[in-house]
Amino acid sequence: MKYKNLLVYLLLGIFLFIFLQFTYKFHFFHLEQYQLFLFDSSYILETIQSIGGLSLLLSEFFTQFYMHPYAGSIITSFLLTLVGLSTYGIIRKIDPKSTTFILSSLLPVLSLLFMHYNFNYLSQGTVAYLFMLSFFYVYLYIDRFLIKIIFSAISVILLFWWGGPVAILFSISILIKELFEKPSQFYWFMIPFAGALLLSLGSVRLGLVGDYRFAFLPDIYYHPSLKPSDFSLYYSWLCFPAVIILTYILRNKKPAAGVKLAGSIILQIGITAVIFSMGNKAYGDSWSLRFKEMEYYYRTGQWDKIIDMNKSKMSNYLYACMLNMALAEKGELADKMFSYNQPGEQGLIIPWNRTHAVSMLLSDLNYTIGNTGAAQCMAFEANVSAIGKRTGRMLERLVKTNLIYGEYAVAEKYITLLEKTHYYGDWAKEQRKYLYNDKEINENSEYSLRRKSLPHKECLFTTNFSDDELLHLAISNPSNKNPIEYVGSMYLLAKRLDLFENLINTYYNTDVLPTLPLSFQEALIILNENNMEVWKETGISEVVINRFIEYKKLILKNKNNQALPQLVQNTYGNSYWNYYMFK
Amino acid sequence: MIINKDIYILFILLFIVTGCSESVHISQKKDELPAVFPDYIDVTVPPNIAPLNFKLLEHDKETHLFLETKDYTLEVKGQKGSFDIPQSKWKNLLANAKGESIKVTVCIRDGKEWTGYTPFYWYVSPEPADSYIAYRLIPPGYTLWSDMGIHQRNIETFEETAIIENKMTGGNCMNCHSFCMQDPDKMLFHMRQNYPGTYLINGNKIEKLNTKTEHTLSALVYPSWHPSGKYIAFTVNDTKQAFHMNDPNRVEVFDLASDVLVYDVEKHELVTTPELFSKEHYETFPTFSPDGKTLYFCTADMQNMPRDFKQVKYSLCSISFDPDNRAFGTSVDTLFNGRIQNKSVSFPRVSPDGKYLLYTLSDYGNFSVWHKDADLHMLNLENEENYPLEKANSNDVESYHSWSSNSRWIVFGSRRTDGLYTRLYMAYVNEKGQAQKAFLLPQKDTGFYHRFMKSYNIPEFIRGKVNYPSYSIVDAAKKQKGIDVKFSGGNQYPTTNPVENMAH
Repeated sequence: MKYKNLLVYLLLGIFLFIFLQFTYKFHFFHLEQYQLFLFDSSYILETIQSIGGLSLLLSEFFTQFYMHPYAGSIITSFLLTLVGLSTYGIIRKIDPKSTTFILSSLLPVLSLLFMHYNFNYLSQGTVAYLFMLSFFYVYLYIDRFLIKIIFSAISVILLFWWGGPVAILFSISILIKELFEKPSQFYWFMIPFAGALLLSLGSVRLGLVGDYRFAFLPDIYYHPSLKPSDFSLYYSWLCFPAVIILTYILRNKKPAAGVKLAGSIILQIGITAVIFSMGNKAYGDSWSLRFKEMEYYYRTGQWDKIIDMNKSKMSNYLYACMLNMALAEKGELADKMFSYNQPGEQGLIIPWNRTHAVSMLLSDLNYTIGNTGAAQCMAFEANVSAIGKRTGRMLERLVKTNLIYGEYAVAEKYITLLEKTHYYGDWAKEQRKYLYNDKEINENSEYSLRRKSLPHKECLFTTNFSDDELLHLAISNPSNKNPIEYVGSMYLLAKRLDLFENLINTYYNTDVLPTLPLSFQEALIILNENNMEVWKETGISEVVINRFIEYKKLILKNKNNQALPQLVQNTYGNSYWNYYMFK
Repeated sequence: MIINKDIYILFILLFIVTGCSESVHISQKKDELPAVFPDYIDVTVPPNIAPLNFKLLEHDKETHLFLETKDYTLEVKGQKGSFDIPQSKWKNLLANAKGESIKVTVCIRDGKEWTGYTPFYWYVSPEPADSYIAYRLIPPGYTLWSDMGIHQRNIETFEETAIIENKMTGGNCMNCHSFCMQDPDKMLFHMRQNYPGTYLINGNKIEKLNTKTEHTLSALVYPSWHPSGKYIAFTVNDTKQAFHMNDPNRVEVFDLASDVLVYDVEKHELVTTPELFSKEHYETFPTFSPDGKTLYFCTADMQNMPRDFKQVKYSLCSISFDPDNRAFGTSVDTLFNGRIQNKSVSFPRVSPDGKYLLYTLSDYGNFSVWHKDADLHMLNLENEENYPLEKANSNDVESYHSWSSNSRWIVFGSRRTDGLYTRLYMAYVNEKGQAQKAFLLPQKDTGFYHRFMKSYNIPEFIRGKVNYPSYSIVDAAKKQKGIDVKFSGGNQYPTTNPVENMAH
């Protein structure tokens, strides 16, 4: 029977792994950027010394593997299976005949699983929870009163040090246990509870923990700058005491057998399935999964996959930003951008909202454009606003941007740091050859292109990322077409054809804009609908001209037809004319 | 029993092998100085500094260090090229070398032979520096900061403690800590966003001040205490920032407007004068003379900002102040004319003995911490001689600075280590006002500065430890409503043009 039950948890682990791998694999790739583990004794020592430090260290250790396929799913399903197994062990110790263990042991698993969907949650919370379960499990095997008191007191201290406020959950669980087991001695177990409260209180008063909610509640396992938007962070903390209470209440009941047992098991599995399904719907964060997938493709340079993902309709600035970056990386932005749904100018350059995620995206975007200063600025912002206060990917960007600027000393600082990491270590070692070596930089196409784009003129920028800044880049290095195409596209998306016309008048037929990409040609025709001389002067292709003539016929023929937008969409959906008229 | 004997013998042998270090004899000499980090070659240090731990930049060999005074020698075995000097022996060494020098010889092992580099020296000044430095730790970023806090470091050991950290106050901004004549019991700083206000600690009392008035540009910003502790000069600023697309300076911080006022600590009132409160000029960075009778400040003509940010040249000026009547003089002296010299002055600070004024000089603007050309300069207040502190300066930023209470030591922020992260350097200033080569504030771990991702802001020497508990500051922040500061006195719209009057 015992081994059969263990099989249940093995199956649970397999199910969780398959589910997470199929549904959340890009989520784990994304999470890798939130924490950074260093193979450095000073860092390890400093982290372990802090409140909850060991659990944080382990969570950072696990997270470093998340960029490897399957690693995030394996680690998370392993941790959650251990939670289920430990809870099962506790239930069985309290009530060896328990027939409700399936539901009881899976409730903490589910409540923690839902938190793992949230990118603001640290797996530190699950590690700390496991610490608490382990200590509680050991505690159940102690019979002697004095040993119990001593063990629980020591456990509270160790748990608070290693796991943080889970010490409070542990002490409450002991209180409940003793209330059911030996109500006459119950008050003695106020000692570990009071100890846990004192430790929490003291840690705030001594400034070791910043706020009471981080000392008493699981908020410490959440992004420190945010307050959880719902109650889900607290589910697992409510679950465990509830499970203990339920187990004690049902302990003296006659265990179900036969059909009743089968029915009970089916009912438990059914309830678990319903909670799982409802939880996934409520906390699945499915909208961000699509973005995370695109982000992974951006990191790995799979531009076509990003473009493919945007063939369906979408109306999200983040997706559009990614799409346009992929097109720009392929040198096709101003040719093909209107072949895809464009939600507006913010889908080209998304406004900065001071968050980690958007800062990272804007760093990527500016790096794609060739705006090294802004890419560096946003990488810095992303780095300091990450949950773990540093992110390997943005440190990588800081290495690159500082190498481009020739700021070798600070680039070396970041390289030294990244050399101590698992995922970025080899890349960082490789970058050493660029330090203090302009010749090597100039032979690297990625670096030299951006170095050439650095403006020659004095130029300031703000986090609004204006067209002026991009024009400086375009002039500095005309071989990089992204800045001028971004400026033109910005005007087209904003339908500011006056600015667009001025741009063409200034830069067309210069090194900056020797030929006009497709969308620019289409916009120029709108501007000069009745002036065909301009069409010729600006080299608008015959294909575009003929297409416009056909488009105009369609418009005139159907000007009173309510289905006109759809008709245009069907034939000219990939043109700027469609965007200009109907978006 | 036989087993026990064997164990004892084994322990003794182990002790002999590991406990007795091999004596090092230098058999060869290398005619060059070792490349070390931090650069502690031929520096002057105070007799109360923590061990100057350092490392060799190339360290594939076994290393050894000799520290010698005339009658004391300390040997330190290198660990991967780093030297961790034992604190108690270091103290003895310093005590023995006070007013003299320590000869520092680094050796490397080549096979069985030990080769000694050319020795360098640590000159130990007779005068100590104030034992603590207070500073803010913050990522040297653009807009966001995440963690920050005001900390204090005992320079005699490696102990660093937090005075207040923003993790206790909802991640807000805290800045501009300042002390009255290096007194750790008389301190102020500001909090922004959450629990905004100026927090004034005086002994075991704390006051929260709401300092924005309808007559002033902003809440109070850059402070400087009057030596009596009865007044504090402040600025009010409309500050903006932008970023360079291609300039080593990276960030540009500038004022659209600024004024100087003096806060009366007892009456909770702000007073000013037209010369400090002009609409046509920027006035900033006030600082009192040690006798409290002169207020120094920086001022510049207003420009079209941000377009002409490089045209902003701050002059160093002074105006008399009568603390008994809370009154300002009517004439302003210009001690350094930024417009004529085509340079800009920031952070004037007078030595506690009143003889010298230390300031930062850069090509333009006032936020010199981002200006690579910013250097420390000294003004001799007796003969008005101006000169750069060449030995203390570097090719990178030297900016905010403060004096030790005996006027013999300065501490300042410099980005010379890696071009971005501001680190603290200390330099000895002799009686003639000349600074010696500066040295980086030592850390126990020689890899610390490479790993550490925050900058040191606003270093302030203090004579002892700030003992006011963090939680009491937090309590004040959360519970005190704050005293509303009143603007009283001063003409908001001056009729004269102070800079024109000031220019020689």
